[in-house]
Amino acid sequence: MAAGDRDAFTVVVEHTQARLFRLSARLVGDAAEAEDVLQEAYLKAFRGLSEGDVPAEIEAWLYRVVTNGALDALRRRAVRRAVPDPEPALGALPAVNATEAHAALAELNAWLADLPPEQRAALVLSALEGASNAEAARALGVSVGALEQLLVRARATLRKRRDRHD
Amino acid sequence: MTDGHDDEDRWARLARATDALASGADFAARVQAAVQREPARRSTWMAATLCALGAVAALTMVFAERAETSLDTDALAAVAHVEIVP
Repeated sequence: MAAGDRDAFTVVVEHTQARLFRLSARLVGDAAEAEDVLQEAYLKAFRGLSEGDVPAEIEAWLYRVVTNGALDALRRRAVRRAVPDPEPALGALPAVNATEAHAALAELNAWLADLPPEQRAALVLSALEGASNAEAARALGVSVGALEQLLVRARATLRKRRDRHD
Repeated sequence: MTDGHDDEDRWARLARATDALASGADFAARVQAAVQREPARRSTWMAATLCALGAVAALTMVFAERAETSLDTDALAAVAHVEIVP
């Protein structure tokens, strides 16, 4: 790939990183891990582009790549059964609203920690990212019907847990 | 209910709060450095074109060889059928 293509890709990164980082962080619930997921997604995208796999809508494609990367990270976490990091990297957050954003991310991570990765991702895409069912289904690579099932199950799990705590 | 808010309120609050999330200041530079480390790759279309060209060249050689063999056989057959009239 020519130097010009690398420069063009840098423009793509600069143009998309704010939205995609937010997506990644909301999905995995940790700022440092979100950066790792996003970096890996960008590298995967770069490799794809350099092999001639150029999608019609690059941002929508990157959105799917990040979602899949985050899902993989959540599945690995589920396998490890690791306790969520209580101190996500503050350095990855801006100074303004950093404390509130950090606290919200930690709260989100704890709230959704028990959900299977697919259900968690479906909820985040739908409730936080504002994606329509069709958009969320596309990002997750499932049918709209399957996505609706994921949402129903996820909300039921959260409701049961809330009722137990009330 | 959680602290007097239902789930929808909680989602709305978390959405607003996490809107402020941003990657670290050095993140773009980190990605750029990682991209720079990626080996240069030949485009798929170029590789496919080269493969196709290679295949065409190989087939051309095979057919050329067969044609030559066939020509020799024909020539031999012609020689074999020459009748020598005393």
